[in-house]
Amino acid sequence: MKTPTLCSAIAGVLPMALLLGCAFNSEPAGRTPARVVVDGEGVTAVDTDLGYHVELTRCRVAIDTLEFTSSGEMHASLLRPLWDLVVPDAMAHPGHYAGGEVVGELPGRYVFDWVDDGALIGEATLLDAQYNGANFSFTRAKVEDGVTPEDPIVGHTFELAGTATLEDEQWEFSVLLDQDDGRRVVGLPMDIHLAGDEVVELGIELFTRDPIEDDTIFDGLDFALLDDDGDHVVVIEPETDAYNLLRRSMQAHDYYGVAVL
Amino acid sequence: MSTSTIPFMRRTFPALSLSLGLLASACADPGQATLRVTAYGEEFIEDEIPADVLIDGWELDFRRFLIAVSEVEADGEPLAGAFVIDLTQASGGEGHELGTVTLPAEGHPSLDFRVRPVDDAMPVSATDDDVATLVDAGASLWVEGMATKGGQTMSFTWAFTTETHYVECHSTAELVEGQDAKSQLTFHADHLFYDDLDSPVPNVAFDLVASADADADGEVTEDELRALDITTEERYQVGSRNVTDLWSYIEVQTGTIGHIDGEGHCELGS
Repeated sequence: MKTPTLCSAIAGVLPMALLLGCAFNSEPAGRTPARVVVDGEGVTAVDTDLGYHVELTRCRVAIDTLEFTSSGEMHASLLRPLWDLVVPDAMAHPGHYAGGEVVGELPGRYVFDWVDDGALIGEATLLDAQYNGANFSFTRAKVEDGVTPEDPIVGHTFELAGTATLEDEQWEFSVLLDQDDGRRVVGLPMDIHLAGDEVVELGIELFTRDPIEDDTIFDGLDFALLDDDGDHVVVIEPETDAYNLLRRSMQAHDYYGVAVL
Repeated sequence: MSTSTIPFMRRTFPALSLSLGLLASACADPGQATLRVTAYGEEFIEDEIPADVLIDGWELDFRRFLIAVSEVEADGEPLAGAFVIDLTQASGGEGHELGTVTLPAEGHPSLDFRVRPVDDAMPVSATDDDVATLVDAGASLWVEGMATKGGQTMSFTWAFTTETHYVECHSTAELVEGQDAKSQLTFHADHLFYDDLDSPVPNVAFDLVASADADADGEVTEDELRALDITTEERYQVGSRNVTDLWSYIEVQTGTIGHIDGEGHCELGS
C-alpha cells in the first residue's frame, strides 16, 4: 500500500465521503450495547500433570479495557471509520492488532473475581459486525478501582487462593501475582454476529483447564515441595520458579475466552 | 428544464468545473524517479553492540551476520533476485546496495521483502562461500560472533531457518521526478537478545544465553539453547506463544529484526 499522495487521497476520499454521506442520510451505523459479565463456568477443579487436584476459592484479577475484534479485513476496514464516528474519541481506541480490527470496546479498569459467576463487569459498545476475538490488558489494582487500601490485591494483578489435594494430603495455597502493567492478552476466541438491536450478554471466561490442549494453569506446581515448614499452607512468593511458572501460564490466551450468554 | 433550476446550475457548474480541474491537475503524470534499495545492519552489526547497551555488561561482536533477502518490492515493482548480504561488512553508514527500481515520482514508497532460506542468491558484500554457507544450512540467517565480559569470552554460530515476510514498510524516501531516492532495509541485531517477546521496553541481555553453555567449552550451540527451559525464568516472557526453550525464543525474535529506514516498522505478511 502506497503512502497517499494528493491525487490518490482525493480519489480515495471522494467516493468514501459520498458513500458515508449516503449512508448517514439513510440510516445510522448499527451498534449494540452489551452487558459484559464474569463467566465462572471455566473455573473448575482440575487435576494437574503432577497429580494434584486443585480448586480455586478466589481468583481476583485487575484488567484494563476489553477490546472486541473482527478478523475480516475488508469488513473491518469499512467498519473502522464508522467506529470512529459512533464512539467518542475519548472512548475509542480502534486499531489493527494481531487479534483483528477493534470494532467494540469496554473501556476502563476493572477488578473482579472469576469465582463470582454472573457479576457485572460493565457495558460495552459493539458495532454490528462478525466478532471473532477479544483482547485485554493486565494492570495492577489501585484504590481508585473501588477496592480498599487494605485490600491485598492493591498493587497486584491477581489474587489467587485455593486448595491442592494429593492423595490424603491437602494444602491451602495463595499467591499475589503480578503481570507487567499493560501486558496484553490478544486473541481470546469469540464468535458472534451482531446485526440488530438484540440484547447481548458476554461472559469473560477463565479456564483453569485449557479446553483445547487439556493442560492446566497449575501444571508444574509441586505444592508439597513448596510447603517448606510442613504446615500445609503454601504462599507462592515472587522470584521463585513456581511463581514464574504460574505467571507465564496466566498470561497465555489459551486460558481465556468470551462466551455469548 | 424549469427556470428555477437555471440559477442553481449557474452557481454549481463553475464550482464543479473548478473541482474537476483541480482533480485532473492533481492526477497528471507525475514522471519517474529512481529508488535505490539498500540493506544495513547499523553500527550494532558492523561494529559491535557495546556493553552499555546490555543490562548485564556483555559486549557483542559479530564476525558474520548473513541474511537472505528476496522478493523485494517497492510499490509493487519487484527488485528481481535473491540476495545474501553480510551485514558485518563496513558500508560507511550507507548500507549495501541491492539494486534500483523505477517508480512514479509521487509520495513515499511502500516496500515488502522476505527473509527466508534460498537455493541460490547474489552475494552482496559477501562471498560465494557465504552464500554456500546459508544455502547448505537451509538457513535464512547466519549469526556468528563473540560475546565478551571481563575476561570471559563466549562464541556462537547459529543458523536460523525462519521465514519472515515484511510488508507495508513505509519508507521515508521521497520520490521526486528525475531524482534518486533511497530506501534502506534495516536489520536490528539487538532484538535477538531482547529479554521479552512482547514488552515495548525490553532489555538487551546475554547472561541467560551464556548460562546455556552446558559443557563449558566457551561456545553456545543451538542444542544447548534448546536444552535451556525458560518457563521458570522471571524475564523472557512469551505471552501466549508456545515457547519453552531459549532457542525457540530467539527464533521468534528473528522475525522482528527487519525494519525500514532505521526505526521504521513493517507489518508481517503471510
